[in-house]
Amino acid sequence: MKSKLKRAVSLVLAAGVMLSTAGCWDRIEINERIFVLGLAIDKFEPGKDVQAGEDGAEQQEEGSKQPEESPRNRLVVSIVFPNVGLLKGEGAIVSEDAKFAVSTVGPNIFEAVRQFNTRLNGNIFFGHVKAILLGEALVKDEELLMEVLDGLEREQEISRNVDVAVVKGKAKDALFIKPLVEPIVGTYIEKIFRQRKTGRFYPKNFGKVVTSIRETGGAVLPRLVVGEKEYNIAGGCLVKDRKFRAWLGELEVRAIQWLENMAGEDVISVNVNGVSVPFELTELKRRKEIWRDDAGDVNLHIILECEGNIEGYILAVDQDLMNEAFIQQVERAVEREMVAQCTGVMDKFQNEFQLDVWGIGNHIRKFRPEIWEDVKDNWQEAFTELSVDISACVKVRRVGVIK
Amino acid sequence: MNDQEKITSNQLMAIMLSTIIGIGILTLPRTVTEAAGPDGWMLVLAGGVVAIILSVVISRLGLMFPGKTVVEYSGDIITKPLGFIFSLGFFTYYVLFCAFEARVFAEVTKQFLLDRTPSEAIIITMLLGAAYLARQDIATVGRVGEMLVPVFILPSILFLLPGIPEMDLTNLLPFMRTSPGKLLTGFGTIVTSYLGFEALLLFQPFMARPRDAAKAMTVALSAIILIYVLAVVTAVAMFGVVEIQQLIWPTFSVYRVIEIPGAFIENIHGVVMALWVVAVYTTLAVFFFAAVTILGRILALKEYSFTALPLALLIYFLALVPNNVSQVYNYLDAFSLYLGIPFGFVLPAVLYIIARVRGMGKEGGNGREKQAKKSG
Repeated sequence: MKSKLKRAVSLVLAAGVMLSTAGCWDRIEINERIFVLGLAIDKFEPGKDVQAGEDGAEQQEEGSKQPEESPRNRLVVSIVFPNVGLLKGEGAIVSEDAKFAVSTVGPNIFEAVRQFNTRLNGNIFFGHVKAILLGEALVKDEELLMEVLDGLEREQEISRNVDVAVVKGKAKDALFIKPLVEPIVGTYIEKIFRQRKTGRFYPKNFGKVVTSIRETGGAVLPRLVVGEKEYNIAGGCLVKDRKFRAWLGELEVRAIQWLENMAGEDVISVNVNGVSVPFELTELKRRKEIWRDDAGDVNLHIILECEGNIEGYILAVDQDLMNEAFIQQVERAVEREMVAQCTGVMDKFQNEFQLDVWGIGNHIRKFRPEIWEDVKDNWQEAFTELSVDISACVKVRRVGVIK
Repeated sequence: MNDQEKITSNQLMAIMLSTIIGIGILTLPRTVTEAAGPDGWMLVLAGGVVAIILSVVISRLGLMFPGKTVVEYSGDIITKPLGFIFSLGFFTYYVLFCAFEARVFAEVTKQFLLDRTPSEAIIITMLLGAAYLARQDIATVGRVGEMLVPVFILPSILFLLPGIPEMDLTNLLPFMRTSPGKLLTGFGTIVTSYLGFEALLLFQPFMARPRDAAKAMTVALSAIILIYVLAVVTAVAMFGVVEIQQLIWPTFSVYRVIEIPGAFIENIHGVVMALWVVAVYTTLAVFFFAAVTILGRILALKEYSFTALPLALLIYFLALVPNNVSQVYNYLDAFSLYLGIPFGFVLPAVLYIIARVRGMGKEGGNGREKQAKKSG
């Protein structure tokens, strides 16, 4: 009897303790959260903020009045988040837009986000951010860019895996358009990044970008151009010495990736016998050889080993692709094309930008530490003086289903 | 201690695994990389070997004085007053260690998981949980260790697998290019990540077969070396030697990068965080238990579990002393250097040497043989 009472008392006590101590300060119901999917950061440029995205223009500017010029207004921060109510199918009460985008002005990202707290009814959560967009003017401003990158890396909610792109023009505009295929901007950008069917932009996640800036002093970020109802992510934006250095073309960005041992399955068109032959690159392996010649100069030999398919030729009876001599002709032509593009890019980075964006210095440090000892103190100069030789070895594997 | 239950050597291994792996593993990849660049993992290996050697010395020492903990036999070896001072220092060391453990736990939990929960609440709940275990006897601690060690070690290692494509093992190159001088200076800070093994000074007499202690310690420490090397290698492979030095807790950052493809929970760092809570809990509880035991034995109390709660209060206030995360780690460095290395590495060796010189070893040696015959 007594033990039963004891047991009952201890049970009540245990339940009481659990109920009273399990209260959690950090409990947030999922529907109280605002899941930010895209984050766009621009430099605040007074007078230039009047134009806005076509749709949702009314719901964006801070309090509908034009933000004035003041030392406090340095950044324009915009976020986009999905309409969770609509996705859940809660019908009538919720607004019909699939996503909401808002924008505000503030001295830094964090204060700007607090501005949103005065306007939005949920708890702004950055754990699911899929894309970070940086505006052109921001990237051109050394101080602001480094501030923003540090803030984003320091914030633990934002994953290091999130995709980054530099927007030509205003990053804010990207969040306010209604894309044709996928209404939610963040996921849309993420999906473009994930497909890996093209080498025309260089997908780099945020962690890789900051690592690259720390290790090599620069990074190539994808360039995003905002259209009416879609984006175009192509080409690149070169950041060097803590700020914007140059825009890079699509083919240049592709060649940069070839030299870095990664590229999407892209198509290279070469001219063989007066016909343009599309060659699909399916595999690429890059080898680096570094040695010192008799004069003491450091030499770098980059060998690209590629595999791929011929995608098309010309409809004819007398000419077929099941011909080894012809295939070899195509292979040589592709090799020439690739080497030419890579050499061009390498030359540009050695002489014009003077930036070792591939981490060749790192490679030397890892694999040829004895050479690194001599060059590490003035690597930037040594990089420009590096004699680089690029060669390619292309193998055509398949030609499609007709001869 | 005869009324206490005894622990098996498996339980000792579990206690050691759960004790030594605590707050240190979070910062370890950064500290070793700062010290030795890509060769950091070798420092970890070397530090572990030193810890193994010292734990063998401690177990020898324990065998010389069967049935006694360091609190008693330090008095025998270096006279009563000095032994008392030693024990008091040892006690302070554990109390401070508990305070650091609790504070770092609070800092990391607040940063990654519960950013609105007050540090005080995090520390109090952790300390109460640890105090509860510290009131029990050693066998309970051993069983808890046995239960919890697989819980936090196995999943943490499994969760690394999806991250393999993100890793670049060439980041560990060049091999053996760090200057020996740099390695030596780094070594001092690395050995402290193995602190916790010196608890053997207290636990050996509670073993059913104290002779097995050395073997159990070697196995446990070898496993810890493997886990530490794994943590360092994965973090360096993922971030490279430059970036890793910017990350305060690189071991967590590794899990921030890893995504399990297609899984419901995309980011696993929350899960890993929860597992780490278990690891910290076991560390804190064992140190707490050690502090309670030393205090009880210094005061020669028959029943000393009642000291746990007042001690929890003391640890709580100590844990709140540092002002910010930077100060926490500065104090922790000073603590490791001025208390950790003496109590973990120097003093046990000194005690052993003095005991040998004073010829106490022979007596102990005989006792060991007698015991061996008995148990054989």
